[in-house]
Amino acid sequence: MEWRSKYALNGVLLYVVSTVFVCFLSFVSIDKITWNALFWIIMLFASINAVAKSFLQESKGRQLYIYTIASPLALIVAKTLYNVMLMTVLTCIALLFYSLVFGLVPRDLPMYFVAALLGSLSFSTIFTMVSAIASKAGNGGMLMAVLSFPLVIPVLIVLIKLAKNAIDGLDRSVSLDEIATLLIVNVMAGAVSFLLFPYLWRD
Amino acid sequence: MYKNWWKILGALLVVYASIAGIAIPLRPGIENIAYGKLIPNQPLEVTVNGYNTLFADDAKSLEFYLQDETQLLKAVAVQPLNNQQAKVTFNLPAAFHNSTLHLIGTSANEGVMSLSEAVIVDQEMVNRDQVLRKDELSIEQDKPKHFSFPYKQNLYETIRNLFFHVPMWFAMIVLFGVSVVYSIKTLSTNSEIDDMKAVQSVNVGVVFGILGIVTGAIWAKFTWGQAWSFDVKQNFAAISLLLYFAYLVLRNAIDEEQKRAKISAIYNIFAFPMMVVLLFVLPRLSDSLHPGNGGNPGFNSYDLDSHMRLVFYPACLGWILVGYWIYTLLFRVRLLEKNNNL
Repeated sequence: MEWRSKYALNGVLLYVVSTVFVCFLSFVSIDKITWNALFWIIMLFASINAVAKSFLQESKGRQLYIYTIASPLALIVAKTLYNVMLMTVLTCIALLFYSLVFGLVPRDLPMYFVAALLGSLSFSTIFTMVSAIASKAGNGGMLMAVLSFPLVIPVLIVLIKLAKNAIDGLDRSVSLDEIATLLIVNVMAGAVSFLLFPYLWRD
Repeated sequence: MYKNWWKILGALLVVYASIAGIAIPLRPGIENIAYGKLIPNQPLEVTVNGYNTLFADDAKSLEFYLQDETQLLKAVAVQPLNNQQAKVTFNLPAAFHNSTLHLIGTSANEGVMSLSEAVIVDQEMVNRDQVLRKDELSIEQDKPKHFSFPYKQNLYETIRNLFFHVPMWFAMIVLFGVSVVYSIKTLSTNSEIDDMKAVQSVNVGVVFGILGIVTGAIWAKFTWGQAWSFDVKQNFAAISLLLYFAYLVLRNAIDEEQKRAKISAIYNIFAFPMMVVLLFVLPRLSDSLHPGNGGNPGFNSYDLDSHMRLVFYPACLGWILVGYWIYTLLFRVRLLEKNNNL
Protein backbone atom coordinates (compact mmCIF):
# COMPACT_ATOMS: atom_id res chain seq x y z
CA MET A 1 0.00 0.00 0.00
CA GLU A 2 2.70 2.45 0.98
CA TRP A 3 4.67 1.30 -1.97
CA ARG A 4 2.64 3.72 -4.04
CA SER A 5 4.28 6.67 -2.39
CA LYS A 6 7.67 5.58 -3.54
CA TYR A 7 8.82 9.12 -4.01
CA ALA A 8 8.49 9.65 -0.26
CA LEU A 9 10.76 6.71 0.40
CA ASN A 10 13.33 7.98 -2.02
CA GLY A 11 12.99 11.36 -0.41
CA VAL A 12 13.89 9.98 3.00
CA LEU A 13 16.81 8.09 1.53
CA LEU A 14 18.08 11.22 -0.13
CA TYR A 15 17.59 13.06 3.13
CA VAL A 16 19.81 10.62 4.99
CA VAL A 17 22.51 10.61 2.36
CA SER A 18 22.61 14.38 2.07
CA THR A 19 22.69 14.83 5.85
CA VAL A 20 25.61 12.49 6.09
CA PHE A 21 27.35 14.40 3.35
CA VAL A 22 26.70 17.77 4.95
CA CYS A 23 28.05 16.42 8.25
CA PHE A 24 31.13 15.17 6.48
CA LEU A 25 31.73 18.49 4.80
CA SER A 26 31.44 20.39 8.04
CA PHE A 27 33.39 18.00 10.26
CA VAL A 28 35.88 16.38 7.83
CA SER A 29 37.74 14.57 10.59
CA ILE A 30 35.96 13.37 13.64
CA ASP A 31 36.59 11.39 16.80
CA LYS A 32 34.76 8.24 17.80
CA ILE A 33 32.31 9.67 20.29
CA THR A 34 31.12 12.41 17.95
CA TRP A 35 30.91 9.85 15.16
CA ASN A 36 28.56 7.75 17.24
CA ALA A 37 26.43 10.65 18.46
CA LEU A 38 26.11 12.05 14.96
CA PHE A 39 25.01 8.73 13.56
CA TRP A 40 22.17 8.41 16.05
CA ILE A 41 21.04 11.99 15.58
CA ILE A 42 20.85 11.45 11.84
CA MET A 43 18.97 8.18 12.35
CA LEU A 44 16.56 9.79 14.81
CA PHE A 45 15.50 12.55 12.47
CA ALA A 46 15.42 10.29 9.45
CA SER A 47 13.17 7.85 11.26
CA ILE A 48 10.83 10.58 12.46
CA ASN A 49 10.52 11.75 8.89
CA ALA A 50 10.07 8.27 7.53
CA VAL A 51 7.73 6.78 10.07
CA ALA A 52 5.62 9.85 10.73
CA LYS A 53 4.33 9.52 7.22
CA SER A 54 2.58 6.28 8.01
CA PHE A 55 -0.41 7.93 9.60
CA LEU A 56 0.05 11.65 9.26
CA GLN A 57 -0.04 11.67 5.50
CA GLU A 58 -3.28 9.87 4.99
CA SER A 59 -6.41 11.78 4.18
CA LYS A 60 -9.66 11.41 6.06
CA GLY A 61 -11.34 9.63 3.16
CA ARG A 62 -8.59 7.11 2.77
CA GLN A 63 -8.63 6.33 6.48
CA LEU A 64 -12.33 5.64 6.25
CA TYR A 65 -11.71 3.36 3.30
CA ILE A 66 -9.06 1.42 5.16
CA TYR A 67 -11.31 1.26 8.17
CA THR A 68 -13.97 -0.54 6.17
CA ILE A 69 -11.67 -3.14 4.68
CA ALA A 70 -9.26 -4.05 7.47
CA SER A 71 -9.40 -4.75 11.18
CA PRO A 72 -7.46 -2.30 13.38
CA LEU A 73 -5.19 -5.01 14.71
CA ALA A 74 -4.23 -6.10 11.22
CA LEU A 75 -3.63 -2.50 10.31
CA ILE A 76 -1.29 -1.67 13.17
CA VAL A 77 0.61 -4.92 12.69
CA ALA A 78 0.97 -4.22 9.01
CA LYS A 79 2.03 -0.63 9.56
CA THR A 80 4.53 -1.57 12.23
CA LEU A 81 6.01 -4.36 10.15
CA TYR A 82 6.25 -2.10 7.14
CA ASN A 83 7.96 0.58 9.20
CA VAL A 84 10.36 -1.93 10.71
CA MET A 85 11.32 -3.12 7.25
CA LEU A 86 11.65 0.40 5.96
CA MET A 87 13.80 1.45 8.87
CA THR A 88 16.00 -1.63 8.62
CA VAL A 89 16.74 -0.95 4.98
CA LEU A 90 17.26 2.71 5.70
CA THR A 91 19.60 1.99 8.60
CA CYS A 92 21.68 -0.43 6.57
CA ILE A 93 22.11 2.03 3.75
CA ALA A 94 22.82 4.88 6.15
CA LEU A 95 25.38 2.88 8.11
CA LEU A 96 27.11 1.74 4.96
CA PHE A 97 27.24 5.20 3.48
CA TYR A 98 28.17 6.78 6.79
CA SER A 99 31.17 4.58 7.47
CA LEU A 100 32.18 4.87 3.83
CA VAL A 101 32.21 8.66 3.88
CA PHE A 102 33.89 9.05 7.23
CA GLY A 103 36.23 6.12 6.69
CA LEU A 104 35.79 4.95 10.27
CA VAL A 105 34.68 1.42 10.98
CA PRO A 106 33.66 0.35 14.49
CA ARG A 107 35.89 -2.32 15.93
CA ASP A 108 33.07 -4.74 16.55
CA LEU A 109 31.10 -4.22 13.35
CA PRO A 110 28.56 -7.07 13.83
CA MET A 111 27.73 -5.71 17.26
CA TYR A 112 27.30 -2.20 15.92
CA PHE A 113 25.07 -3.62 13.24
CA VAL A 114 22.96 -5.32 15.92
CA ALA A 115 22.71 -2.02 17.75
CA ALA A 116 21.62 -0.25 14.59
CA LEU A 117 19.00 -2.91 13.89
CA LEU A 118 17.65 -2.77 17.41
CA GLY A 119 17.56 0.99 17.12
CA SER A 120 15.58 0.92 13.92
CA LEU A 121 13.23 -1.62 15.46
CA SER A 122 12.51 0.48 18.53
CA PHE A 123 12.25 3.74 16.58
CA SER A 124 9.70 2.22 14.28
CA THR A 125 7.51 0.61 16.97
CA ILE A 126 7.41 3.77 19.09
CA PHE A 127 7.01 6.24 16.25
CA THR A 128 4.27 4.24 14.56
CA MET A 129 2.08 4.46 17.64
CA VAL A 130 2.94 8.09 18.34
CA SER A 131 2.23 9.11 14.78
CA ALA A 132 -1.15 7.38 15.05
CA ILE A 133 -1.90 9.38 18.18
CA ALA A 134 -0.66 12.61 16.64
CA SER A 135 -2.67 12.12 13.47
CA LYS A 136 -5.83 11.52 15.50
CA ALA A 137 -5.16 14.63 17.53
CA GLY A 138 -5.10 16.55 14.28
CA ASN A 139 -2.20 18.87 14.96
CA GLY A 140 0.46 16.96 13.00
CA GLY A 141 4.16 17.67 13.08
CA MET A 142 4.62 19.72 16.21
CA LEU A 143 2.68 17.31 18.39
CA MET A 144 4.60 14.40 16.92
CA ALA A 145 7.88 15.90 18.13
CA VAL A 146 6.57 16.84 21.57
CA LEU A 147 5.07 13.42 22.19
CA SER A 148 7.82 11.26 20.80
CA PHE A 149 10.99 12.84 22.16
CA PRO A 150 10.53 12.01 25.83
CA LEU A 151 9.48 8.50 24.84
CA VAL A 152 12.49 7.95 22.64
CA ILE A 153 15.21 9.50 24.80
CA PRO A 154 15.58 6.50 27.16
CA VAL A 155 15.86 4.14 24.21
CA LEU A 156 18.36 6.45 22.58
CA ILE A 157 20.52 6.56 25.70
CA VAL A 158 20.73 2.77 25.86
CA LEU A 159 21.41 2.61 22.13
CA ILE A 160 24.25 5.10 22.29
CA LYS A 161 25.81 3.17 25.13
CA LEU A 162 25.51 -0.11 23.27
CA ALA A 163 26.94 1.42 20.12
CA LYS A 164 29.80 2.93 22.09
CA ASN A 165 30.65 -0.49 23.46
CA ALA A 166 30.72 -1.82 19.92
CA ILE A 167 32.97 0.99 18.68
CA ASP A 168 35.43 0.40 21.47
CA GLY A 169 35.35 -3.31 20.74
CA LEU A 170 34.53 -4.28 24.29
CA ASP A 171 33.74 -7.85 25.12
CA ARG A 172 30.25 -8.77 23.97
CA SER A 173 29.05 -10.00 27.32
CA VAL A 174 29.30 -6.41 28.56
CA SER A 175 26.55 -5.33 26.20
CA LEU A 176 24.09 -8.12 26.98
CA ASP A 177 22.36 -5.98 29.61
CA GLU A 178 21.66 -3.22 27.12
CA ILE A 179 20.41 -5.62 24.48
CA ALA A 180 18.03 -7.20 26.96
CA THR A 181 16.72 -3.81 28.05
CA LEU A 182 16.15 -2.76 24.46
CA LEU A 183 14.32 -5.97 23.64
CA ILE A 184 12.11 -5.60 26.71
CA VAL A 185 11.30 -2.00 25.83
CA ASN A 186 10.46 -3.06 22.29
CA VAL A 187 8.22 -5.91 23.33
CA MET A 188 6.50 -3.63 25.82
CA ALA A 189 5.97 -0.82 23.33
CA GLY A 190 4.74 -3.30 20.74
CA ALA A 191 2.33 -5.01 23.10
CA VAL A 192 0.92 -1.76 24.43
CA SER A 193 0.40 -0.34 20.97
CA PHE A 194 -1.32 -3.51 19.72
CA LEU A 195 -3.63 -3.45 22.72
CA LEU A 196 -4.43 0.24 22.50
CA PHE A 197 -4.63 0.83 18.78
CA PRO A 198 -8.15 -0.60 18.33
CA TYR A 199 -9.44 2.01 20.80
CA LEU A 200 -7.66 4.75 18.95
CA TRP A 201 -8.87 3.68 15.54
CA ARG A 202 -12.53 3.45 16.42
CA ASP A 203 -13.75 6.97 15.90
CA MET B 1 -15.57 11.05 60.05
CA TYR B 2 -14.95 7.30 59.99
CA LYS B 3 -14.88 7.35 56.23
CA ASN B 4 -12.13 9.93 56.23
CA TRP B 5 -9.79 8.24 58.66
CA TRP B 6 -7.04 7.94 56.06
CA LYS B 7 -6.98 11.68 55.46
CA ILE B 8 -6.48 12.32 59.16
CA LEU B 9 -3.89 9.56 59.30
CA GLY B 10 -2.04 11.02 56.31
CA ALA B 11 -2.01 14.54 57.73
CA LEU B 12 -0.90 13.31 61.14
CA LEU B 13 1.88 11.21 59.64
CA VAL B 14 3.17 14.10 57.55
CA VAL B 15 3.12 16.42 60.54
CA TYR B 16 4.84 13.78 62.68
CA ALA B 17 7.49 13.05 60.08
CA SER B 18 8.20 16.71 59.44
CA ILE B 19 8.54 17.61 63.10
CA ALA B 20 10.45 14.48 64.03
CA GLY B 21 12.63 14.76 60.92
CA ILE B 22 13.66 18.30 61.79
CA ALA B 23 13.71 18.26 65.57
CA ILE B 24 15.49 15.00 66.41
CA PRO B 25 19.19 15.66 66.93
CA LEU B 26 22.05 13.96 65.13
CA ARG B 27 24.25 11.56 66.99
CA PRO B 28 27.56 13.02 68.16
CA GLY B 29 30.33 12.76 65.64
CA ILE B 30 33.89 13.83 65.00
CA GLU B 31 33.91 16.63 62.47
CA ASN B 32 37.62 17.03 61.85
CA ILE B 33 40.94 16.77 63.64
CA ALA B 34 44.27 18.53 63.59
CA TYR B 35 47.59 16.84 64.36
CA GLY B 36 51.30 17.41 64.02
CA LYS B 37 53.96 15.25 62.42
CA LEU B 38 54.02 11.59 63.33
CA ILE B 39 57.36 10.59 64.86
CA PRO B 40 57.93 6.96 65.89
CA ASN B 41 57.93 6.29 69.63
CA GLN B 42 57.02 9.88 70.43
CA PRO B 43 53.73 11.29 71.77
CA LEU B 44 51.32 12.70 69.21
CA GLU B 45 48.92 15.46 70.16
CA VAL B 46 45.61 15.54 68.30
CA THR B 47 42.97 18.28 68.53
CA VAL B 48 39.54 16.76 67.96
CA ASN B 49 36.61 18.90 66.84
CA GLY B 50 33.30 17.27 67.63
CA TYR B 51 29.81 17.88 66.37
CA ASN B 52 26.90 17.71 68.83
CA THR B 53 29.32 16.34 71.38
CA LEU B 54 29.60 16.92 75.10
CA PHE B 55 33.34 16.42 75.64
CA ALA B 56 33.56 18.54 78.78
CA ASP B 57 30.47 17.08 80.41
CA ASP B 58 31.58 13.54 79.69
CA ALA B 59 35.22 14.13 80.55
CA LYS B 60 35.46 11.19 82.92
CA SER B 61 34.29 8.47 80.60
CA LEU B 62 35.75 9.91 77.41
CA GLU B 63 38.24 7.67 75.62
CA PHE B 64 39.87 7.86 72.21
CA TYR B 65 41.48 5.19 70.06
CA LEU B 66 43.50 5.09 66.88
CA GLN B 67 42.72 2.00 64.86
CA ASP B 68 44.27 0.22 61.92
CA GLU B 69 43.66 -3.29 60.73
CA THR B 70 45.77 -4.92 63.38
CA GLN B 71 45.80 -2.73 66.43
CA LEU B 72 43.85 -0.42 68.64
CA LEU B 73 45.92 2.32 70.21
CA LYS B 74 44.42 3.90 73.28
CA ALA B 75 45.00 7.56 74.04
CA VAL B 76 47.12 8.13 77.12
CA ALA B 77 45.61 11.50 77.92
CA VAL B 78 42.29 13.13 77.05
CA GLN B 79 41.81 16.76 77.94
CA PRO B 80 38.51 18.39 76.91
CA LEU B 81 38.81 22.11 76.14
CA ASN B 82 35.08 22.60 75.87
CA ASN B 83 32.11 20.53 74.72
CA GLN B 84 33.18 20.65 71.09
CA GLN B 85 36.94 20.38 71.41
CA ALA B 86 39.35 18.03 73.10
CA LYS B 87 43.11 17.60 73.15
CA VAL B 88 44.08 13.95 72.91
CA THR B 89 47.56 12.50 73.29
CA PHE B 90 48.73 9.17 71.88
CA ASN B 91 52.01 7.41 72.47
CA LEU B 92 52.93 6.31 68.98
CA PRO B 93 54.48 2.89 68.32
CA ALA B 94 57.46 2.35 66.06
CA ALA B 95 55.26 1.59 63.07
CA PHE B 96 51.71 1.04 61.89
CA HIS B 97 50.36 -1.73 59.70
CA ASN B 98 48.26 0.58 57.47
CA SER B 99 48.85 4.01 56.02
CA THR B 100 45.53 5.41 57.25
CA LEU B 101 44.18 5.26 60.79
CA HIS B 102 40.64 5.63 62.01
CA LEU B 103 39.89 7.73 65.05
CA ILE B 104 37.30 6.33 67.42
CA GLY B 105 35.88 8.00 70.49
CA THR B 106 33.67 6.51 73.16
CA SER B 107 31.89 7.92 76.14
CA ALA B 108 29.39 6.54 78.60
CA ASN B 109 26.58 8.93 77.68
CA GLU B 110 27.04 9.25 73.96
CA GLY B 111 28.21 5.90 72.72
CA VAL B 112 30.67 5.46 69.88
CA MET B 113 31.73 8.11 67.38
CA SER B 114 34.33 7.68 64.67
CA LEU B 115 36.13 9.41 61.87
CA SER B 116 37.46 7.07 59.22
CA GLU B 117 40.84 7.69 57.60
CA ALA B 118 41.48 10.44 60.13
CA VAL B 119 45.25 10.20 60.41
CA ILE B 120 47.56 9.58 57.49
CA VAL B 121 50.80 7.81 58.28
CA ASP B 122 54.01 8.66 56.46
CA GLN B 123 55.31 5.93 54.22
CA GLU B 124 58.40 5.41 56.39
CA MET B 125 56.21 4.54 59.34
CA VAL B 126 54.18 1.85 57.54
CA ASN B 127 55.35 -1.65 58.24
CA ARG B 128 53.33 -4.49 56.84
CA ASP B 129 54.88 -6.98 59.25
CA GLN B 130 53.65 -5.01 62.20
CA VAL B 131 50.91 -7.16 63.69
CA LEU B 132 49.94 -6.40 67.22
CA ARG B 133 47.31 -7.58 69.67
CA LYS B 134 44.85 -9.03 67.24
CA ASP B 135 42.48 -10.01 69.99
CA GLU B 136 41.74 -6.55 71.36
CA LEU B 137 40.52 -5.10 68.15
CA SER B 138 36.82 -4.54 68.40
CA ILE B 139 35.02 -1.74 70.11
CA GLU B 140 31.42 -2.61 70.74
CA GLN B 141 29.09 -0.69 68.47
CA ASP B 142 26.47 -0.55 71.16
CA LYS B 143 23.03 0.96 70.72
CA PRO B 144 22.75 4.75 70.56
CA LYS B 145 22.02 6.17 73.97
CA HIS B 146 19.06 8.31 72.94
CA PHE B 147 16.74 8.72 69.96
CA SER B 148 18.85 10.27 67.24
CA PHE B 149 19.88 10.10 63.61
CA PRO B 150 23.28 8.86 62.52
CA TYR B 151 26.07 11.31 61.88
CA LYS B 152 27.50 10.85 58.40
CA GLN B 153 30.51 12.41 56.80
CA ASN B 154 29.50 14.95 54.12
CA LEU B 155 25.79 14.48 54.81
CA TYR B 156 25.68 16.07 58.26
CA GLU B 157 22.29 17.62 58.96
CA THR B 158 21.03 17.14 55.40
CA ILE B 159 20.36 13.51 56.22
CA ARG B 160 16.97 14.85 57.27
CA ASN B 161 16.16 15.59 53.64
CA LEU B 162 15.61 11.86 53.24
CA PHE B 163 12.25 12.31 54.93
CA PHE B 164 11.14 14.85 52.33
CA HIS B 165 12.96 14.05 49.09
CA VAL B 166 12.26 10.32 48.80
CA PRO B 167 8.56 10.35 49.83
CA MET B 168 7.89 12.91 47.06
CA TRP B 169 8.87 10.34 44.45
CA PHE B 170 6.82 7.61 46.08
CA ALA B 171 3.79 9.89 46.12
CA MET B 172 4.37 10.84 42.49
CA ILE B 173 4.59 7.25 41.35
CA VAL B 174 1.43 6.28 43.24
CA LEU B 175 -0.45 9.21 41.70
CA PHE B 176 0.71 8.33 38.19
CA GLY B 177 -0.34 4.75 38.88
CA VAL B 178 -3.80 5.97 39.89
CA SER B 179 -3.92 7.99 36.70
CA VAL B 180 -3.11 4.94 34.56
CA VAL B 181 -5.84 2.92 36.26
CA TYR B 182 -8.37 5.62 35.44
CA SER B 183 -7.04 5.94 31.91
CA ILE B 184 -7.68 2.24 31.36
CA LYS B 185 -11.14 2.73 32.82
CA THR B 186 -11.73 5.65 30.50
CA LEU B 187 -11.06 3.46 27.50
CA SER B 188 -13.54 0.83 28.59
CA THR B 189 -16.31 3.08 29.93
CA ASN B 190 -15.84 6.27 27.90
CA SER B 191 -16.90 8.26 30.93
CA GLU B 192 -15.79 11.85 31.37
CA ILE B 193 -15.45 11.45 35.11
CA ASP B 194 -12.77 8.78 34.81
CA ASP B 195 -10.92 11.01 32.38
CA MET B 196 -11.11 13.90 34.80
CA LYS B 197 -9.72 11.71 37.57
CA ALA B 198 -6.82 10.66 35.36
CA VAL B 199 -5.91 14.27 34.55
CA GLN B 200 -6.16 15.54 38.08
CA SER B 201 -3.97 12.78 39.47
CA VAL B 202 -1.37 13.55 36.79
CA ASN B 203 -1.54 17.22 37.77
CA VAL B 204 -0.88 16.46 41.42
CA GLY B 205 1.77 13.89 40.50
CA VAL B 206 3.63 16.44 38.39
CA VAL B 207 3.63 18.87 41.31
CA PHE B 208 5.09 16.16 43.55
CA GLY B 209 7.67 15.36 40.89
CA ILE B 210 8.75 19.01 40.71
CA LEU B 211 9.00 19.11 44.51
CA GLY B 212 11.09 15.94 44.38
CA ILE B 213 13.46 17.50 41.84
CA VAL B 214 13.75 20.71 43.84
CA THR B 215 14.43 18.98 47.16
CA GLY B 216 16.91 16.75 45.35
CA ALA B 217 18.66 19.76 43.84
CA ILE B 218 19.01 21.39 47.24
CA TRP B 219 20.46 18.20 48.64
CA ALA B 220 22.78 17.81 45.68
CA LYS B 221 23.99 21.39 46.08
CA PHE B 222 25.09 20.55 49.59
CA THR B 223 26.55 17.09 49.22
CA TRP B 224 27.72 16.91 45.60
CA GLY B 225 28.54 20.60 45.28
CA GLN B 226 26.25 21.42 42.38
CA ALA B 227 22.49 21.73 42.22
CA TRP B 228 22.41 19.91 38.89
CA SER B 229 25.16 17.33 38.97
CA PHE B 230 24.22 15.61 35.69
CA ASP B 231 23.56 12.49 37.64
CA VAL B 232 21.68 9.85 35.63
CA LYS B 233 18.80 9.76 38.03
CA GLN B 234 18.43 13.50 37.96
CA ASN B 235 18.37 13.53 34.18
CA PHE B 236 15.93 10.67 33.90
CA ALA B 237 13.61 12.20 36.47
CA ALA B 238 13.58 15.38 34.42
CA ILE B 239 12.83 13.42 31.25
CA SER B 240 10.01 11.51 32.88
CA LEU B 241 8.49 14.80 33.98
CA LEU B 242 8.79 15.96 30.36
CA LEU B 243 6.81 12.87 29.42
CA TYR B 244 3.94 14.01 31.57
CA PHE B 245 4.21 17.60 30.40
CA ALA B 246 3.81 16.19 26.89
CA TYR B 247 0.66 14.47 28.11
CA LEU B 248 -0.73 17.78 29.35
CA VAL B 249 0.24 19.50 26.08
CA LEU B 250 -1.51 16.76 24.15
CA ARG B 251 -4.68 17.38 26.12
CA ASN B 252 -4.56 21.08 25.34
CA ALA B 253 -4.10 20.39 21.66
CA ILE B 254 -7.42 18.60 21.25
CA ASP B 255 -10.71 20.45 21.54
CA GLU B 256 -13.26 17.69 21.20
CA GLU B 257 -13.88 16.22 24.65
CA GLN B 258 -14.58 12.58 23.81
CA LYS B 259 -11.62 12.43 21.48
CA ARG B 260 -9.38 14.15 24.01
CA ALA B 261 -10.32 11.69 26.72
CA LYS B 262 -9.57 8.71 24.51
CA ILE B 263 -6.35 9.86 22.91
CA SER B 264 -4.80 11.19 26.09
CA ALA B 265 -5.74 8.01 27.92
CA ILE B 266 -3.90 6.02 25.28
CA TYR B 267 -0.83 8.23 25.54
CA ASN B 268 -0.92 7.99 29.31
CA ILE B 269 -0.94 4.20 29.23
CA PHE B 270 1.90 4.32 26.71
CA ALA B 271 3.92 6.73 28.84
CA PHE B 272 3.65 4.97 32.19
CA PRO B 273 5.79 1.90 31.38
CA MET B 274 8.34 4.24 29.81
CA MET B 275 8.49 6.20 33.04
CA VAL B 276 8.98 3.00 35.02
CA VAL B 277 11.84 2.04 32.70
CA LEU B 278 13.35 5.51 33.06
CA LEU B 279 13.24 5.66 36.81
CA PHE B 280 13.87 2.07 37.83
CA VAL B 281 15.62 0.15 35.06
CA LEU B 282 18.02 2.52 33.32
CA PRO B 283 19.71 4.06 36.39
CA ARG B 284 20.79 0.56 37.41
CA LEU B 285 22.71 0.18 34.17
CA SER B 286 24.98 3.15 34.71
CA ASP B 287 26.89 4.90 37.45
CA SER B 288 24.96 7.24 39.64
CA LEU B 289 25.78 9.38 42.60
CA HIS B 290 22.57 8.26 44.23
CA PRO B 291 22.86 5.59 46.87
CA GLY B 292 21.93 2.14 45.66
CA ASN B 293 23.17 2.62 42.07
CA GLY B 294 26.38 1.94 40.26
CA GLY B 295 28.16 0.33 43.15
CA ASN B 296 27.14 2.88 45.76
CA PRO B 297 25.63 1.16 48.76
CA GLY B 298 21.91 1.73 49.18
CA PHE B 299 20.39 3.51 52.09
CA ASN B 300 19.11 0.21 53.37
CA SER B 301 22.48 -1.34 53.93
CA TYR B 302 23.90 0.97 56.55
CA ASP B 303 22.51 4.46 56.46
CA LEU B 304 18.94 3.71 57.27
CA ASP B 305 19.21 2.59 60.84
CA SER B 306 16.30 1.65 63.04
CA HIS B 307 15.71 5.19 64.28
CA MET B 308 15.54 6.62 60.82
CA ARG B 309 13.13 3.93 59.73
CA LEU B 310 10.74 4.99 62.47
CA VAL B 311 10.44 8.36 60.75
CA PHE B 312 11.05 7.39 57.12
CA TYR B 313 8.27 4.83 56.64
CA PRO B 314 5.57 7.02 58.24
CA ALA B 315 6.81 9.91 56.08
CA CYS B 316 6.36 7.85 52.90
CA LEU B 317 2.91 6.64 53.84
CA GLY B 318 1.88 10.09 55.02
CA TRP B 319 2.95 11.88 51.85
CA ILE B 320 1.27 9.26 49.67
CA LEU B 321 -2.00 9.65 51.57
CA VAL B 322 -1.79 13.44 51.47
CA GLY B 323 -1.03 13.36 47.75
CA TYR B 324 -4.07 11.19 47.17
CA TRP B 325 -6.14 13.53 49.29
CA ILE B 326 -5.07 16.60 47.30
CA TYR B 327 -5.99 14.75 44.14
CA THR B 328 -9.51 13.94 45.39
CA LEU B 329 -9.97 17.59 46.39
CA LEU B 330 -8.82 18.84 42.98
CA PHE B 331 -11.07 16.34 41.27
CA ARG B 332 -14.09 17.45 43.27
CA VAL B 333 -13.40 21.12 42.53
CA ARG B 334 -13.19 20.38 38.82
CA LEU B 335 -16.40 18.38 38.95
CA LEU B 336 -18.25 21.24 40.67
CA GLU B 337 -16.89 23.73 38.14
CA LYS B 338 -18.07 21.54 35.31
CA ASN B 339 -21.53 21.08 36.77
CA ASN B 340 -21.80 24.83 37.27
CA ASN B 341 -21.04 25.45 33.65
CA LEU B 342 -23.77 23.14 32.44
